[in-house]
Amino acid sequence: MSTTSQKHRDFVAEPMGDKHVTALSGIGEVLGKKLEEQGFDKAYVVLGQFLVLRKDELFIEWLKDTCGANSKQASSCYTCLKEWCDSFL
Amino acid sequence: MPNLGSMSDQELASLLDQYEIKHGPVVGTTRKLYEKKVLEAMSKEKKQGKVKKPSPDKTYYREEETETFISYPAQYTTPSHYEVFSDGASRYSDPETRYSSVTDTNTPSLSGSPWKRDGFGDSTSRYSVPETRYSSVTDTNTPSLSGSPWKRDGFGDSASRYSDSQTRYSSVTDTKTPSLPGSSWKRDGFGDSADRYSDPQTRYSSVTDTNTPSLSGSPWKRDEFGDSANRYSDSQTRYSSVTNTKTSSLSRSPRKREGFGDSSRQIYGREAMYRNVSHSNPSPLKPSTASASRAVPASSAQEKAPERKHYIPVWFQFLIFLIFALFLYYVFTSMETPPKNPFERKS
Repeated sequence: MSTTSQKHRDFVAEPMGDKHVTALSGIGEVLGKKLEEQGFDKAYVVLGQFLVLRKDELFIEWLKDTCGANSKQASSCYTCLKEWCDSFL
Repeated sequence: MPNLGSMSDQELASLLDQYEIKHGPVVGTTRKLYEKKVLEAMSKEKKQGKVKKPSPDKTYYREEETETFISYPAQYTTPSHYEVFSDGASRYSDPETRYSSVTDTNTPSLSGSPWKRDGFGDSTSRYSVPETRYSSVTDTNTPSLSGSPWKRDGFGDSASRYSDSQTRYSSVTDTKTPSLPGSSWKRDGFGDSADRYSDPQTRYSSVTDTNTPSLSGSPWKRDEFGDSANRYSDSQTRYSSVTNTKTSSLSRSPRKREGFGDSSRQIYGREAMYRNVSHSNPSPLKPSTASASRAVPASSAQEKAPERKHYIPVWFQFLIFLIFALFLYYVFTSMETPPKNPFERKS
């Protein structure tokens, strides 16, 4: 019983490579733009931040603070990155 | 409050450790987040410093765990966890056994001594023997109390009671009524003319209280109750029943009996708490048998309840059931033959 979105499944299925930050689950156009302004233009940069925060749920808070994401979006992004790390890191 | 903005990364990291906040390296992008966290922790601390935690409740000891009784080696020392309660009775709350029994009587004389003996008011001597978990109390008019050998419950008056640790039997005889000679295995004698049995496996202890508020609690895991309450609590089933009878009643039902607080306060276990209190004059056997019958299904139901765990998801079980039902339907329909005229001649 999967409650993940297609975007999530797509992202987690393969190494992220050079994907844009909007490829992350939960990050749409608006949030993607805001993250770009902060310097997080690629998914791997956000991954870097995720890892610096020790893959903790602090990441959710950080994401909310940085780009104004709501809880659902931030959690979705967190889960997406976490699963990616479980598979590829 | 120190100026978090001016602190170096290391200082901020040490602050985070101080507040036991799990954190990663404090770098440019994470700094703001960690500063926020430290601020939150500081304000929380201030709030907590003003509010004190409420003191624990000391009066009652509630039966909360499934496993309540643990056998103890015999010791002849002063009981630990002896608490004096407000109403003058001294109660024994043993955390491991989770037994606290109190009886409040007129004379607050308390003779308690053997290890894990609950002292109760009046002239009752009650014991809670850890291995046998027997606590028997008899309250009689004369506040004579013979408290004695280890594992022997001393009872007031002319009751002779003993709890045999192996057999968990305590017999009490009361002079007032020519009551029971206790001898059956695991039979606890109780005050007055009550014939009570406690079966350790079944964990039943029943007590009937008659006119005289004598309380003979004894069966294993029986806690005393004040007055003439007949209470039992089955720790597994968490059934506690109290009946007040005027005549000696004989109740044999396999239930664990737990002690409760003073006279009619019962503390019941968490699960299926069953309380049957009757303050009228029911016939001796009726309440006990009624409660017994009620207790048995309750106990069986309750015993099943904690054990029931969903290892297989429920939806899967339903699915399997449906498949099986369909299979059976198919089989039976295929076995059906079209109705034939039974009178046809076979050629």
